Amino acid sequence: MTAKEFFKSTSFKCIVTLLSILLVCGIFLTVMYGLLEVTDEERLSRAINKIYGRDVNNGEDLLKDSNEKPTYGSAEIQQAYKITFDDSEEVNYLVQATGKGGYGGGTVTCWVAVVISDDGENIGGIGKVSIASNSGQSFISKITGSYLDSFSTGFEKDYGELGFTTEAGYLTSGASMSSNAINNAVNGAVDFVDQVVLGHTKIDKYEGFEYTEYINTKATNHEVADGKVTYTIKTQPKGESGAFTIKIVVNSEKKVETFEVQTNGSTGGWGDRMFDVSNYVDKDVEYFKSGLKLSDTGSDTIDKDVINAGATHSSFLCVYAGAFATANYDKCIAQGGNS
Amino acid sequence: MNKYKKITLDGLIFQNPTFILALGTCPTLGLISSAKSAAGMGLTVLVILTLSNILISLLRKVIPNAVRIPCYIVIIATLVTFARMLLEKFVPDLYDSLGGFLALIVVNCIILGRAEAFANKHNALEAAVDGIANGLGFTAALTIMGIICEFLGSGSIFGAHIMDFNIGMLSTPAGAFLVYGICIAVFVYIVDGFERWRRVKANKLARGNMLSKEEA
Repeated sequence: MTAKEFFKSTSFKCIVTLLSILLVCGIFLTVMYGLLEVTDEERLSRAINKIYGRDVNNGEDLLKDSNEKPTYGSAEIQQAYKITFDDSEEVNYLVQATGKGGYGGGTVTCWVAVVISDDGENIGGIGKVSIASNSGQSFISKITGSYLDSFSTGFEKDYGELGFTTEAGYLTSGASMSSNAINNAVNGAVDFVDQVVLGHTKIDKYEGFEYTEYINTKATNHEVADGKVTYTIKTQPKGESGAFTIKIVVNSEKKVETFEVQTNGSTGGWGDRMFDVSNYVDKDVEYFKSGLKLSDTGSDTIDKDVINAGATHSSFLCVYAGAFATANYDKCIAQGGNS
Repeated sequence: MNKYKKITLDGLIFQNPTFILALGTCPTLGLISSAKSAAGMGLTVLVILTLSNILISLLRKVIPNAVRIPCYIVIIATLVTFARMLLEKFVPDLYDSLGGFLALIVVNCIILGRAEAFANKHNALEAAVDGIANGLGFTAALTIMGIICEFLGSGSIFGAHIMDFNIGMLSTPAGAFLVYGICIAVFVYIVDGFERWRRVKANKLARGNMLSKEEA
């Protein structure tokens, strides 16, 4: 086929037609993209307006000078804005926080609108909580709007000194792990505003203690009497297991005298298969550290030759609570009770 | 029968893309759990279908037969991308609710089917009427099923709460499949009954004409 024949052929016509259509369509879409592009600022503004249900001024970016995402409790702060309104003098702080401790170690990211009190010195409440995204939370659809609204209505009642907990009337059947991550996100957002914006200092009574990674230090307390330390320990959830509440009495020999599970966080009926907690009585910190191979750094593994009962996460949390109680006996004696 | 009336009735009823031809099943099953999403998808398809029919009809003498399908796909994909941009800019709620199904309009059988079966054989006006009629037929079908599924599955219609009782399964694609099947059965029954009535009426008219000719 000569060049002349090729240029007259159907093949050439096909190529030219297809390329022409592609070119025209490409130019059209390029021009339209320039005209209709939705910028990141516009997306953010929409998200914020959707949360508040009215037009707001998403003014000051509180994290613009921050290179790292701050962490408060079990939440990482992603974005934070000071919000003002055209039609009122109200000031809100809108915080996007990622709460850890969801199902399978996943997270839930929430927008939390934190309201400041009229005197401008304290947290006044929670305006709104909405879910922005999640990772690996299969049952997130079970989280209802009324559940999220309960953070606003239950602020004074349940937040208090401890923060929201999954057990504080907010447990969502079928999505308790996801709701725990949401609780963590909301608590982190409120703590962020309280400490960074309002400048309040939060005293962690268990700062410097050992084995605190899986302990909810906000909700844990201890009393000291007659050389004994009586703990009421609230653990964090872990894996498929929810949070445990455990009463542990440690005697002057630094050994466990009483080990009583008050709230069993096991899910799916696995609680019956947990390692018998009576085994922990009369044991010291070495038993929990060496005997069960619990590392000093709070490794999340335990000796499965000893504890291999089909409820590993639940057993781990009990072992961890035992380690926390026995390892910190001296510090508690020095500190005195704090309940 | 008037040409345009026939095209319109075919698209809406007798060749309804959803109930009679069972085309566009993927977005149908995916979106009819919410009446608002279903109606939004229907209207988006209506606009894209009408524009693609017009463009393909206008270009039918320019596009060589051998590359017509790739050309149609490029045109449809461009229109879908343009529609996505418009929705994201001006109707973000609908854009979010349609999700991935919006991009999947590119491979919607109704649009490519009408381009291949109708638009490349008719003029632009007829193609536009066909696009509107089929688009309306698709929108109506999706909206009706969306209302049924949302009402029975969530106890609401277009987001407005109506009742507390609901059958959760009907909010899922499996429930949508069930409702889709029942709707097809009812629709086909009604259309068949109407066509039977029309045939009987035509036969009676023909017999009457014959008798009057014999008497004369």
